[in-house]
Amino acid sequence: MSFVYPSGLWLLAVLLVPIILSLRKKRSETRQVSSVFLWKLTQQRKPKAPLKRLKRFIFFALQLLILLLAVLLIAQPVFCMPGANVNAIIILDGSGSMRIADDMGNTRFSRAIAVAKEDIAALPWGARFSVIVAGDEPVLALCQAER
Amino acid sequence: MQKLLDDAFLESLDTMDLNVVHLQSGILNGARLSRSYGSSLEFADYREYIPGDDLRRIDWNAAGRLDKFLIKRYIDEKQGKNCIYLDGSASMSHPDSKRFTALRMAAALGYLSVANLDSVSYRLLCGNACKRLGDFVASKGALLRTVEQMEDLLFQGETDLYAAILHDPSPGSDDGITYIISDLLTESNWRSAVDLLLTRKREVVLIQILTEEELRPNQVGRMTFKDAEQSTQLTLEVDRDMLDAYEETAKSFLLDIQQFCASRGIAYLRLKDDEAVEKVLRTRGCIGGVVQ
Repeated sequence: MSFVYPSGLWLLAVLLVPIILSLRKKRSETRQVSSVFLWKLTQQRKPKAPLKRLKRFIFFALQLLILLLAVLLIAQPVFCMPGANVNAIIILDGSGSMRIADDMGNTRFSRAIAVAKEDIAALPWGARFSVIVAGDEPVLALCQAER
Repeated sequence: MQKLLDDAFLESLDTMDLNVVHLQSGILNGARLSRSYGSSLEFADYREYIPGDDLRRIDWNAAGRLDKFLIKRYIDEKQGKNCIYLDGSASMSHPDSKRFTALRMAAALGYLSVANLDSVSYRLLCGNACKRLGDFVASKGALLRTVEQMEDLLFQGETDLYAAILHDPSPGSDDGITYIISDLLTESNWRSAVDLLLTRKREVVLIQILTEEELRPNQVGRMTFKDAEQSTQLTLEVDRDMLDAYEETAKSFLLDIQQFCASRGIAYLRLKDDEAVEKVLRTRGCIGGVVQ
């Protein structure tokens, strides 16, 4: 993968902002009350809410994801297939001797095609290949086909 | 600073009387009907004349009709000896309007006592101790002097209501009403204190004073609550759910007190620090059986 504007990746530093904010210990407001008796009772009676923590985590992860997508949008990534730089040319002999058949009746030319097929199958995805049949006059059978 | 007992306040109290179910006993004569026979105008029943009875008490009309000498008996009237326990913990003076309302309620109940020929005594509950704020007073003048001294009373520290009432050297017997004025925001076993007074045949009235903030706090965020009584602090993340849970807890806490009072047959009156004491007594006090 490459980027059209790789310098845009510097903006990934923005992701640190929500992370630092979430790690920072929140400051609490001190308040004098007549008694903490009812607050203690509330704390004891209030059911634990594990879903609430999960909800908070999902919200935080979504924040990071949105920021990440925004940065990637600016950097414009370009995805390349593994065989994008491979260009293969297969030349098949188209002379008359290729018409000689073996005991099974298969001509040399048909066997050459089978071998060519196997070679093409072995190419990486995204590779381009051309097939030329070399006879009296060369014929371009396939031009820049993609695997 | 507003006085605890001013003329307008006293005037509004003059139409009320404390609700005393029945005095069992008492030494001094007063205006409360007791369960013994005496010399009031309230007729009780007849009994047959026995030698030695005052001849003036024979019902001659009945003697003419039934040919029997019958003595008319009347219900005795005694003086009630009321005690007012004031919770002297720091929570009762936070905010100061709560302290003022508590003192004003105590002053009003004292005034109603002496205005209806009862005597009254104030006790301040601090820590595990019960401090008497003077002796029993039975006259308006003496009461006004006692109330004047109470105006500067400081509420501080923690109070164990049960231990303090238990340590009262003279909690009284079946001769009057005991009023407990508190916010009841305590882990102390105050219910046992009420039961203790009931076993001593006292009539008990529970008066709870709370603030709006104690019933319905509304601030959200990360809060550190500092207890006015103890050095303890409680840090909580307060959000809307937490506030709803707090309100639910407060409601069930109050319902629990109400149910306890109903189960013991004692009067319970709850008021907020910003409510007018005379208005509360005239409305909810009448319904709740505190005054009549």
